[in-house]
Amino acid sequence: MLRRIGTALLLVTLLAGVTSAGMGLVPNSARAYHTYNVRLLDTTAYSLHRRRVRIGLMKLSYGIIDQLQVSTYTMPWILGAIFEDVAPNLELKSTLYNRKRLALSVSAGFLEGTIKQSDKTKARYFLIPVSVASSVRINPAVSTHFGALFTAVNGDANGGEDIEGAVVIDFLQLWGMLEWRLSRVVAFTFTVRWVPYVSDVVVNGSLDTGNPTVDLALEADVSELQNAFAVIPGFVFSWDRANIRLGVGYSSFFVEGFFLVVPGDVLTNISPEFDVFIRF
Amino acid sequence: MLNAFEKPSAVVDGEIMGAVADEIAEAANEIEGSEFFEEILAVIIEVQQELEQNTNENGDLILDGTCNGGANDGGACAAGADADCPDGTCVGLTVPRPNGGVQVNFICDGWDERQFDPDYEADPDPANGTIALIVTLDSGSIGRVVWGTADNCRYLVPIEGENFQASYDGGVAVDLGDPVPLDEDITELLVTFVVDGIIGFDPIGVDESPFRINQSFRVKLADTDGLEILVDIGEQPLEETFNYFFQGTAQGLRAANGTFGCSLEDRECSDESGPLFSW
Repeated sequence: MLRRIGTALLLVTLLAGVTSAGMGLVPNSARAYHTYNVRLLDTTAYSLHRRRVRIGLMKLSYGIIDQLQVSTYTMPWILGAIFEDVAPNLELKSTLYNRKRLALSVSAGFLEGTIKQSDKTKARYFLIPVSVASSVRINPAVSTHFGALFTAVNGDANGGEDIEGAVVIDFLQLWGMLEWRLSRVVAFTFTVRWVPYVSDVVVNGSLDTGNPTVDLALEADVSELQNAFAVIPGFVFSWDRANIRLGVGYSSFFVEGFFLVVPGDVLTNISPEFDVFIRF
Repeated sequence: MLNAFEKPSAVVDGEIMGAVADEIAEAANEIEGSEFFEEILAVIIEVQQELEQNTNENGDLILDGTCNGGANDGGACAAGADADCPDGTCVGLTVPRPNGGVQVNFICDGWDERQFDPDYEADPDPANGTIALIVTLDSGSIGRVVWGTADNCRYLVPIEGENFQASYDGGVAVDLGDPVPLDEDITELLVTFVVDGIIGFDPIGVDESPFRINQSFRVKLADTDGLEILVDIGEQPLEETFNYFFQGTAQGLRAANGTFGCSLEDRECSDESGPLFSW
């Protein structure tokens, strides 16, 4: 069933992209988005210019100065509110260099939240994602983007009868994206994401069994995340202010905002990519 | 050490046996009588069972399990007990196929005979001594080597309807042979012990002096009559060794010059052809 839904999503994505590309071959609006100055922000080295705003389903961003953008992901807030504890998160992204054909950026942020495991136990998590990215404008229509994201995850749980302890895991994600502007409205994107390194999960805890007491210092095997990847064709539609990013790919799901990777077999190897946002 | 058990290097004769026979007899008597190795293995087995209860069918350790769905939604559960969550699943902090160390602290049962009363619930009393062990986990299985110390651990040894006071104070290392899956019966394994400590065991109330032991031996818990002692006779540790074994009423030794039936009581060893040497 999931496979059929995935296939249908892929077809819809391709159809929408081709149709819109055809319509956009002759631009009918000088205000269409894919311009020299207005570029994709996600998975690239570009950031919002000063006083520019992006309000999206997945992310809210504001350009503090031309070289510095502040963002927050919406899903941790929304899901956190639903599950009784919001997850504050913030990301600063700076486009340090943007001249001629090349742009370079660095970004860093944090995500903090709590998962209620039971009436008595809460697991807290704290993520620090740090990334670097580069974008190269090969010609006015085609750009390439490459980057690396290192995420350090630190968590702890307490309050339950069985477990008190801490969890630590680090992982590195590399990505590359080809952006091909089919028109001023439609851009085709082809994104490849790969996780070349995942540290072992270190769990320090205790198992309260009465007598004997059992203290644990464990490493969990997360080798199935090692070399997780996703290949995601997609499109970004850009109108005057509204934008849609839509893609369906294969293999692992890289969860935006939570900086997590869901192994491919969990979601039948469907790797979606979706956002709706306005920029002004 | 393990190699010494497998490949005895000493050539044993009457002179050698004459020098070590009394030590062998005394060590065997103290080891079999005090049964302190059973106390150590009982703690390991208890940890094994606790880990098994909290491990799901994929070998993932689930900590602080809670039922998701089903009749016991939200209730506490153990991942290895399907009955805890009818029509639901047991979820919690999941550690996939864990590796690492487990520090175990056990307060010994002491000498209070009420511990054998099924209705008696004793509060563990640190005055009864402790056993502290390090158990390793190897992809969810218990690692083959367990080590630790017993700190004046007191316990009772039931013998023919009577309970005798015993204690052990010292270090212990246990080799289980291979990594042990959580559902494997440890009592059926041939387990090698290396101990260095003091056994307090006085079943007849004659000799109250503790016995100093620094010994390697092998036992299988399910085989209560079996014991194999490593006898080290070289100038350097493990330079020259042989094994002396007890199996029910039978005794014998395995040495570089062969395997013989022996009797510490009759002070002789023999093979199928007859007596070989005596001391």
